[in-house]
Amino acid sequence: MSLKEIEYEPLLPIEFTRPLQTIDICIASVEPKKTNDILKILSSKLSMVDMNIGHLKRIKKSEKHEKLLDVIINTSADVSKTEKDIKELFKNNNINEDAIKDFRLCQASKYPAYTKSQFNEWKNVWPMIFKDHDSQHNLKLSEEDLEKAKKWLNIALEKAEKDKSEVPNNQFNNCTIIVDPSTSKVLAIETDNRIKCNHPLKHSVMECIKTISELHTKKDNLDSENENEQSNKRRKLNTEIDSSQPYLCTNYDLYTIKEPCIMCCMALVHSRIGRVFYLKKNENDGGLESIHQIHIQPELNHHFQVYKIKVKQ
Amino acid sequence: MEDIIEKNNENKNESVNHQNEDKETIEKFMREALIQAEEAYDACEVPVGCVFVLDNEIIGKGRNRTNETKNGTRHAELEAIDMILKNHSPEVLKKCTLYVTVEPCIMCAAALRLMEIKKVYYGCSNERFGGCGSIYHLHNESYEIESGYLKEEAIMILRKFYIRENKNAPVPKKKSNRILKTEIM
Repeated sequence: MSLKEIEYEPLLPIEFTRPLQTIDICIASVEPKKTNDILKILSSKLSMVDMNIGHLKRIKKSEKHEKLLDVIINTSADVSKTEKDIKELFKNNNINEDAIKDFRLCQASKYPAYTKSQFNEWKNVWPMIFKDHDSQHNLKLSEEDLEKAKKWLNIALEKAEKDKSEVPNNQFNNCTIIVDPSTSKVLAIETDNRIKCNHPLKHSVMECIKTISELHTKKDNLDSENENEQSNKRRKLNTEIDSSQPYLCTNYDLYTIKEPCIMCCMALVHSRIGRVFYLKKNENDGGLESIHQIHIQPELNHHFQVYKIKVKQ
Repeated sequence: MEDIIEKNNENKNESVNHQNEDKETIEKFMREALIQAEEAYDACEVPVGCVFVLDNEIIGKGRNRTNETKNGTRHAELEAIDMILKNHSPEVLKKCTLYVTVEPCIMCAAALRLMEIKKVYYGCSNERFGGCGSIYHLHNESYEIESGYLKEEAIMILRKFYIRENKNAPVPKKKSNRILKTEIM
């Protein structure tokens, strides 16, 4: 079997599916007449974008104080310190400190809304700005990406076919490839080795992750051979991060025939994989569309983009 | 082959006695798991350890090795399973009980299901990654779990570790709050 014309379907990323998560913001109430001056100072000293809350509106009508406006100061939980700092700041800018009062904590959405329904729900917590992300979010694959997907998946199919002839009783026949997209270099290509090794956990994804780790440790050893002994020792005692060194599978692309199982999907979360492309659904144990959606599980600390590749009908 | 059959028969008798391990036995094996966690701590790895027990005897143990191997999947459970499979057939896991200091993560919980483990005892829960109750319930309809044994010890060693920080992780994003405070001054 060889793929000729293919199309793709992106599985929705976390931004489109996450439920409401809130953060504490520190707000205060101000006189509408003084708002312009206050906002000018606040936005120069405490920019919403720098505080990672560019998706929130800075100001809203106060519910607590009639005729006043509530304004976001910062995202610090230390209200009394914020109040002290702001009053000091106002003094230095010749604004009467009575123009602002009642510093308090309030809740707001932690993340920008990507869908209309997220927006309609989340803006009730604190007013938000809505941008139509469908066009902006990079869910679209370029022609080049699609060509590459076809190429790598064809190689995986070929390799799996070859493995089938070598291990004919392998009901788990599969092949996975991990590529560094910045260099288009194949870093790992592995078949499912459960039968061959009599080891129920040697799935092709796990085998690829292992191959990459061996590649990285080998590179590390080569690097340290070139250094003198003293710096070598220091390195061992205090393994400092070197950003030029690859960290696990960060930013790598993974191509596989069958939707990875739950174990493998979580292994990919632990490995910080970049993108995953696959051909066939894994009805019994799939961790991306079939049983769970691990790549968009809000509680987890890493999420990745997934593309299901289909043969054009 | 005869060996395996003989062992199987033995296990049948044994497993009746071991249907419910008593607290003393559980804590004894949990201490062994904690020794593994301590070894991980000394090697600057996230301190989680485990032992697999067959007929009251430890047949495999493991601890986290993710930094050493540069492989984020080398958790205690997978290390121990690899050790066991060097000398046993995979079927042996069906008769094993796992004692692990922390609730297995989603990957390990799924792996234990694939191995058809009999029972899992764990110390403290794993709120960030747990697959046996915290985030998913992967043990359901597969294996029994019981938790809370030597929980305080399991938590303390993790706390001790996280104070020391994980130097291999990528640089954390700067907290915007911190920058802001200095700006106002």
